[in-house]
Amino acid sequence: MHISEGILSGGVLLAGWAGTSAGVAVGLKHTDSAKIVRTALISSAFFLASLVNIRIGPSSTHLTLLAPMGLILGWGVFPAVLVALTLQAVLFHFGGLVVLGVNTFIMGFSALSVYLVFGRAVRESKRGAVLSFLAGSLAVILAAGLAGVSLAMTDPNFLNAAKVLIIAHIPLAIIEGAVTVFMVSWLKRSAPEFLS
Amino acid sequence: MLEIWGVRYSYPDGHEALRGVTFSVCEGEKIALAGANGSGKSTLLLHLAGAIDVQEGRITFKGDASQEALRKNIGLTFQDSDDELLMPTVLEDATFSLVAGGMSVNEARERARKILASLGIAHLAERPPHKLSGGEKRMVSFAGVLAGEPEVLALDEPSAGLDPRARRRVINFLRETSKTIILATHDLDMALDVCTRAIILSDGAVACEGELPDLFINREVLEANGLELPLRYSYSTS
Amino acid sequence: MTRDAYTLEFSAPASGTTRKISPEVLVISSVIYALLVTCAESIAGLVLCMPLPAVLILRRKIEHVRLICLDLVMIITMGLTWPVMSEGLIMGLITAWRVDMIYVVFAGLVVPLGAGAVYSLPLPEKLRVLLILTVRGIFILRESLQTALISVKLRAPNVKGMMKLKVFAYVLGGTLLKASAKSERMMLAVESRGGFGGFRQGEGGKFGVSDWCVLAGMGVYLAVIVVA
Repeated sequence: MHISEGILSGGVLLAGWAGTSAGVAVGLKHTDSAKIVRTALISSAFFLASLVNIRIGPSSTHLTLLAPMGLILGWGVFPAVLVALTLQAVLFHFGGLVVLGVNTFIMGFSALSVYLVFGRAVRESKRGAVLSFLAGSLAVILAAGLAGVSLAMTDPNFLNAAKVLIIAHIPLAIIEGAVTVFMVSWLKRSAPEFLS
Repeated sequence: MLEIWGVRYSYPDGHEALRGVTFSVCEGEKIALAGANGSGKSTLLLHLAGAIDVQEGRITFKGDASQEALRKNIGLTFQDSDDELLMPTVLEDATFSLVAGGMSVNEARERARKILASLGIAHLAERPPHKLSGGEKRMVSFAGVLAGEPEVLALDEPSAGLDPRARRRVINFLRETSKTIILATHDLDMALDVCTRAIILSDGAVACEGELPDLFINREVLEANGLELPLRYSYSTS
Repeated sequence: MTRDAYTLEFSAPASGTTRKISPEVLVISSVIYALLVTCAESIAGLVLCMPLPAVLILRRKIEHVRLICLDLVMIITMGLTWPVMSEGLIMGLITAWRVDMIYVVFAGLVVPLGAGAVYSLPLPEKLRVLLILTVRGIFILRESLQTALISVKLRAPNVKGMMKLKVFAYVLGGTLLKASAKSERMMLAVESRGGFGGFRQGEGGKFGVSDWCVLAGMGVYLAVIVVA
C-alpha cells in the first residue's frame, strides 16, 4: 500500500503532510511519558511482524496489521505509524520521505478509524469475532481507498488504477480480517488490558 | 549509609512482594541479597534505586529519604542488560544519564570514554548494543551506571546469562571497585567471591543475615529458603 | 522470513565523498532531489535531473532487480487502466523514470546511513524517543520472534490456511506481551537514569563548509529545474 516517491502531485503531498502533522500532534498529546516506551516496543513488534512473509497458496504477502495496531495503540497509532514508515523508507526505501506524509495519513487514519469505530464494541461485545473481522478487513479497504483517492487527485486518469487497487486488496482484507479475529480473541483471553 | 526500615510493597494485582524488609548497609560494604526466584530481590533493588515509590516503610541514603537522593546515589543494573541499553551506540548509552542530568554532550562523551577505557571496553564505543555478546552488554551496562558516579552499585543477577569467562570478568570488576555494592543473586559462588555479608530473602521478608562464608555453609538454612550449598561446598555424589 | 529484519543495520560506514557530509544534509539533499523530480513536468526537466543518479549508479552498487520488477508492474498497470492505452504506457514509462531516479538517489545517499539518517534530525522529544526505542525494540524482539516462528515450524510443519493465520496471530500476541513487559522494565531503566533528557544527544550539530556547499548546490539545482 506504499505509494512510491515521485508519483503524487505537490498538492496531494502537502495535504498528506497537513493531515499527518495534525494526527501526529494529537497522537503525541494522548501519549504521555509513561506510554511512550510501551508504544515504541509495541510498534517494533508490529514492524517485525509486517516483515513476515505469509504464504497464501502459490503466492505470499506481507500483512499491514492496521486494525490490531489501531485497537491496541489507540490515538498513539499515528506517531507509531509515522516512525514505522520512516524506518521502512530509510532502511528499505519502501515509500519515501517526501511521500511519507501521504503514506502515514493513509495508514494512520485507517488504523485510527478502526479504533474509534470498533474499539469499544470489540472490547465489550459478545459478537467480538464478527466485529474484529470487520475491523481488520475494513481497515485495509479504507487504506486502499485512500491510496486510490490520492492517485486520482493527482491525475484523474488514475481513476481506473485506483479502482483496480481497491479490488486487488480484497483478498488481503479477508486475510487481515481473519488475523484480527484470532489476535483479538487471544488478547481477550490472555491479556485483556491490551484492548483497554 | 543506607537504611531500609520496614519496607512493604504490593503489586497492583495484590501480590505482596515485600513484607517489612529491614536492614542497613555501611559505606564500602559489599553485601549479597540472596533468595530464590520470587523472593523479592529485584523489587527491593528497584526500591533502593528510587525507581519504585515506597508504599510503606522508609529508605534513607545518609539520612535523606527523598527518591531523588536514592536515584542520584544508587546505580542499578538490570538482570537483562537489553532492558537498560537504550541508545543506538555504546558511547551514547554510557552518556545517557549524564546528558539527562544536564551535562553537555561533548563533556559527557569525554567522561564516558574514560569510563569505557577503565572497564577495558573502549573499543566498543561505536558499536550498537545488539551486536555485543552477553558479557560485553553487562560491562556496557556497568559503564552506563558508573557514568553517573553513584556511591552504591545495586546489581540484579549480574551473572545471569554469562559464560564462565564473562562471569569471571564481572567478578573481578566487582572485587576491584571500591564502591559499596548490593548484589542480588542466586549465584552464591559469585556472592562468596565478592561479598563479606549476606541477607537471605524469602517470600518478601528477611529470613536471616550473617557474615560470609559462614551463612552459606549452613545447608539447612539455605535449603529452607529455596537455595542450595554453593558449588565449592557441595560434595560429589559419586 | 525475517531476512529483511536480520539484514537490518543501524548504520553502515559512509564511503568516499559522503563521509565528509553530515547525515542530515544527505537526508535533506535527497528530499530536495525528490521534490525537484516531482516539480519537473517536462522531458527536458527530467533529463536535467539525471546527472545525480547517474553518478551514484557509477559509484555505488544499487539493487536494480526489484526496481525493474516494480517498473514493469507500474507500466503495465498504467497502460491497462489509462483511458488510452498508448498514453498510459507513456505515462507509465515517465512515472517509472521519476520513481527510479529518486530511488537511486535514496539508495545511494540515505539507505547506507540506516536508522542513523533520522537520528540527527531535529525532532520533538517524544517523537525522538519513539524513534530510538522503536529501533532498539526491533533488535531486541527480532530474535524472539524468529525463534517463535522456528519453533512453530518444527512443531507444526504442515500447518496451512486459516490455522496458519491463527498460529501467526498467537505468535504475534506473545511477542506483544513480551514487548509490553520489556517496555515496563525499560521505563524503569529510563527513570533510574534520569529521565528522557538522555535521548536528546545525537541531534545534529553545526554544518561544515562541505555541508553548506551541498545544500547551496541542491538549492540552485531545484531553482534550475523549476525554471526549466
